[in-house]
Amino acid sequence: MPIAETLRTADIHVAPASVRLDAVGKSFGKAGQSVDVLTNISLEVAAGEVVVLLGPSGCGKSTLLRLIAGLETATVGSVTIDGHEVTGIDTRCGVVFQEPRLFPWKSIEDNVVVGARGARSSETVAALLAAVGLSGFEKHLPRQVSGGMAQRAALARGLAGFPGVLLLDEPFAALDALTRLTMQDLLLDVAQETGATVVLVTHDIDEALHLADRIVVLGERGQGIAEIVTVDHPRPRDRSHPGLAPLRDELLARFGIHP
Amino acid sequence: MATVEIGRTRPASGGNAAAKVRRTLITVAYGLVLPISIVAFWSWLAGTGEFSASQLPSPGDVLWAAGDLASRGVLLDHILISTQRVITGFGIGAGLGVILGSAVGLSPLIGRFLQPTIGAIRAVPSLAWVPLLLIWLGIYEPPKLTLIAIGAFFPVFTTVAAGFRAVDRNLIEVGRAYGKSGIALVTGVLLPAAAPTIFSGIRLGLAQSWLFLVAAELIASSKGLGYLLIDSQNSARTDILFLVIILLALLGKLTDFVVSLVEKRVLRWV
Repeated sequence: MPIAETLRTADIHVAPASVRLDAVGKSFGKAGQSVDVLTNISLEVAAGEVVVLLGPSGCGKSTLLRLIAGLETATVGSVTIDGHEVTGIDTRCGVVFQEPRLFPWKSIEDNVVVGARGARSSETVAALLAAVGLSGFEKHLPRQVSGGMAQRAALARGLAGFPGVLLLDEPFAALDALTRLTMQDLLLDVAQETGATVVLVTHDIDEALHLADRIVVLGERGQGIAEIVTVDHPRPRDRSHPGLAPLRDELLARFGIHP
Repeated sequence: MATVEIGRTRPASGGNAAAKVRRTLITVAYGLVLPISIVAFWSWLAGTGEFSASQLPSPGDVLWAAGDLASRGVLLDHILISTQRVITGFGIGAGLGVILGSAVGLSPLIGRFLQPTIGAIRAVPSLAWVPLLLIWLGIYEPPKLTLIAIGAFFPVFTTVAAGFRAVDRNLIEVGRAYGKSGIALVTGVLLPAAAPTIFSGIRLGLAQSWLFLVAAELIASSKGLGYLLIDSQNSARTDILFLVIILLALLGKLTDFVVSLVEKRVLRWV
């Protein structure tokens, strides 16, 4: 059964949550020789919206994501989720990291259950494992599966809690090209069906164009938001839709590539 | 959605039982090559007549000494009292090592309080405690157990503290991101992640316990393998000396093997 149907049957909906960043800045290092990674970032993400953060390496996009998750604290400015300030690890968020970060002592299935925080039925966990193509690997240990499989398990773990805000840091970068497309659609299915807000970091322009309601382009380190591009195409999107071509060219040009 | 077919990688449970037994036997056979060669060489050397029996007894002499002591009913007594001392002293030392090592490894604040002092105490050569222990605790069991406990404590304390400190920050972050904190974070993430290091510390501590047992029994005792060493040195019974050394090797190996069985059970995922 496709994941969307399972979720519909189980009637899983999340509390809609908006994300608001207010003049947020983050610097690392000691006073006097600190590095400003983010300066003056203001952004509002509506509940249920899919926002993709795009930018060159080292521009602070991962840091921005970690600020929303409460894994880092902003040096200046404030981060609020649904009007409440984020002051520490925020359990309204589900995080998928760049690396799988599975607990090596737990089976694949039990790792996904960690994400569910004990609140979800085993059917939902099984459905998520099936959706990421890991049926039959439930009892395997992380070291017994490939890197791509581990990353998909991590995606299932991130989804399993059905958080109001899904934060993903280049979650598909380690996957092969075909699996990547499948997982992108899975993410959209889950987000659409549950109403979760999604903030995803990537440096893949096509991925951004396929997923995003809005693409937030970050400038070089410390320069803030360079541009916000609204992707106004109906879903499900056809990846080769000619209407996306001008946007793709525009984004490529931003990164210095002129087709 | 399209299904993604993936070939199975390593199976969850390794091989069938027969193959497992075969592998174990091969490992044992490899391990026995060197000891058997040493005994053969020793036997030849003792048989050349170059050395007197008090310099180099033959393997047969050592076996005979073992049989003699056993038939008089004293060998088992010596072994049991020594093993009991090791287990008790190690239990106390390793237990304290795990508790204080965890505290120091988990809490930077406690670490700042304890680390310098424990580091300084550690710098004292452990045998330097002996005279003080004898004055304070008498000459019977307490000073021996304390010395063994001191020997077991430091390797366990150091590795446990280091093990908790070395836990992958990324895994802790995952634990926190998925709602674990406090005790739940310790038992759910830190403890299992540090478990392999904790076990290696416990095994080091156990080896140290045997070392300190001999030291303790050499100093003042009327029973035990260390006593047997001193006693046979005084009566020039080199055969018994050899016997005790071999017994210490076997007992040390055996107790380590028991811990390794527990380790294998607990760390099935490694």
